[in-house]
Amino acid sequence: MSVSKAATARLDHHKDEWEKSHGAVQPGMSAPPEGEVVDEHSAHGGHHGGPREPLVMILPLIVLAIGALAAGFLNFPQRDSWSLGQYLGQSPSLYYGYQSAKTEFGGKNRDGSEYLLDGKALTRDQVETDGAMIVPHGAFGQVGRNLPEVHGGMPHWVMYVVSGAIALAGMGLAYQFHLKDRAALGRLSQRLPGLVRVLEAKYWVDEIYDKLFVKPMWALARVADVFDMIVNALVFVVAYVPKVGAYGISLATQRGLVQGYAVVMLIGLAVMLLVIFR
Amino acid sequence: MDFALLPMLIGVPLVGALLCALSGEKGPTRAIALVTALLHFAIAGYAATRFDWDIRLEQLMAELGTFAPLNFSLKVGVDPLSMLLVLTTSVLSSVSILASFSRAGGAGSKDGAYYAWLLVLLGTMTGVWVARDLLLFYAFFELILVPLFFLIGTFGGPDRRMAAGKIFLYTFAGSILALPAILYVGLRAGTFDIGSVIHWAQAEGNLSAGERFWVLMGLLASFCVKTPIFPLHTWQPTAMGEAPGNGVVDASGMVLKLGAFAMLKIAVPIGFVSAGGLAAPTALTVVAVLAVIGILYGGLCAWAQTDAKRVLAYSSLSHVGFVVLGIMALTDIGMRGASLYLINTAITTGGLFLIVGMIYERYGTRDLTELGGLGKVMPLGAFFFGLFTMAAIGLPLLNGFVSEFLTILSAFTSPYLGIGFGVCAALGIVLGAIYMLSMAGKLLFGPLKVPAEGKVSAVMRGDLNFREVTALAPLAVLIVVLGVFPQPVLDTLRYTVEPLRAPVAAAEARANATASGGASIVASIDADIAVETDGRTKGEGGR
Repeated sequence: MSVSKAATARLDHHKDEWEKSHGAVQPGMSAPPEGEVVDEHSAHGGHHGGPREPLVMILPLIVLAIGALAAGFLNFPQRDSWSLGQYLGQSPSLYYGYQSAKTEFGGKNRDGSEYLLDGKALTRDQVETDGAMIVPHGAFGQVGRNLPEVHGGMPHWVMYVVSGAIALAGMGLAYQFHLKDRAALGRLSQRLPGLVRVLEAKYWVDEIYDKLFVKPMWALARVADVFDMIVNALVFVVAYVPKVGAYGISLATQRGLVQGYAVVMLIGLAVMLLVIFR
Repeated sequence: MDFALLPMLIGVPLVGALLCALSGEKGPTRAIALVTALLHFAIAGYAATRFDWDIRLEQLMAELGTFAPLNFSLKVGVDPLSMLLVLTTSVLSSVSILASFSRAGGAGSKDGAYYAWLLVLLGTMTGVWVARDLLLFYAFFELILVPLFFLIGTFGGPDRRMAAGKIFLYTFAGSILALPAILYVGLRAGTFDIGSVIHWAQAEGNLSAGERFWVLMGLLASFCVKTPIFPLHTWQPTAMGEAPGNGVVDASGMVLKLGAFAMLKIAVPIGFVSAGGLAAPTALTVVAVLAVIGILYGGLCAWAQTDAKRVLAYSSLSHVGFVVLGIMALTDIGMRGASLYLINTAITTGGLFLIVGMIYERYGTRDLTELGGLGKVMPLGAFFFGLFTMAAIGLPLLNGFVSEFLTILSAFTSPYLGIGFGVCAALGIVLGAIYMLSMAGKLLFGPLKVPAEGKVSAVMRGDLNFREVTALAPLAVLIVVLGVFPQPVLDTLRYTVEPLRAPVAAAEARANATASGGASIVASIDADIAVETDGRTKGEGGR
């Protein structure tokens, strides 16, 4: 896109103003794209927000955020009305898996019984005698039994608070470093170059994985391919043996002389006559 | 009328083959071939509607003649697995013939011979699935080599003659060892009826341990080569690599399933299983170990290949390893999973071979170093290739996942195998993802890379046409349907698997009951066995 000289000068001025408020562009930061017209208000007032993300990136995040809130609401085990946990607990796989684990490793239901099936409390002995009751015979996801309602356990308030605090701390850091004071991120990264290198290299996970697993397996694949050629060659050697033997026999018997063939035919005839008239 | 369905399924392709041969290059050979294949599918479909999928007995029985001195009869019938394999063979053959219309026609094309042999292959494969006499089974088992020999030897790649000779001699040599075993057990039993021979072989005292061992070795010599199992597999990459573009679909799709089918239906109930339960634990362990080696070895070799067809050939070696592992687990889910795997891998691998053939027709090469970024110019082809690739690596909701999961689960839970087998087999899935995704990535993504025009006419280049999509679409639909809703197939396969492993199941139940002190339970298990074997005998009396 072509711009006039005046517009170019204006853009340069705004870029300088942006860099004054945000610091020089650091790895991981995004400078305003070339040619973007930044309005003077946002150029002078850095704390009112940096570059705006396009809507195509923001909208999915909004949708995901709403979905996360909805999932948390539906999954809350202390809900009096329908919850996702209650629905999933009706699954035979989960139910019977839970009961099998309880039977194997002990534990009681909330009403004190050791095993619960179709609303009936059973003892461990009863379960072991009728072992097939734990998992329906031939079960491949069969549904149809009248399963009891699964009650949720006590919510883990400590985990709720801790995970919420971590999330809020993350949001606070993101606000601080990406909205309020972007230059602070640049200053921090200059003070911790080692950490920046580790993060940019993504902990060298790809490189380690490549050296530990991919390359050795690839070498093994090449070895297998060569081994296959050897096995194939052995097959050809085995096939070559009768070929050589037949060639040797043909050399001895197929001399091209009529007298020789006549003698062999006479011998054959004599053998036949001996067998028939023995 | 039901009794005529199975003989028609064998006879119609043979008649079609004769018509194709007579029609030659100038006549409507391709139309005859396609109509024959579709007619075969229609008859198979009708037979499927006449088949009761909820009972254990073999059905649609027909006996076309008997040779009294040997008690050998031309007897055919189907159980659920056979019926499913007949249907799969029919679909694959129709698809293969339709896809092959891209062959250059006219003088010199040898269309008559090509389609004739394809139809003979269809007829003989159907014969294997439906034969209910051991000698008839063996005859069809070997007869398949004839059309394969001519298809590969006449219409294959540069080394076609070597490949044709190799596949014929290699598999025939193995089968020569099976013939004495079959004759021995059939003559001793006084009949070659498969059900009766199995019943006789499993009964107490009929076969000594030594006799059973040698019969099993003879059968395994043939079936392990045909499956194939490492290290008896080298004919397969050669044959698959040299086979013609679309005949390979049949070859790889179904011929490779013959050995595993024979192992399941004949070797296991005669050789591995007796009245007391498992009769050959060492042989079972050895075969299972070889199967696991095949899974891993096939995967590694596939990764190292640069020819797309050879990648798929070694991938087939890996897949049949899963099938054999499931069979050797001797559990209900293992054998059902293995049976389903036979069908699934036929569809998936067949589809992949088809697409590779279509790419070869456009660019004259299958070399992964010469091709790249084809997704840009063949988006439809890329879609199908991607779908079949995902099915091959066992992505959930596609057919491959169900059978892979069941066979690996059976390895873990089988009392005869164990965790080690399951872990190694699971590694095979990882390898499968590596080589399949690697091939798909090289072929479909990245910058467009194709050989210079000159190898193949530019007219052929471009995305899939309507005929090719029509050929691939049924396979794609089956892949999704069997992946989302495999339950009906799994349920019906129970009726195939239960009789095969009945003595083993009874022995396990007896052992469990004895361990928990239930004498009455042991008695009821023995009573169940009596009912089971009685019912099987009645079933083979004809329906």
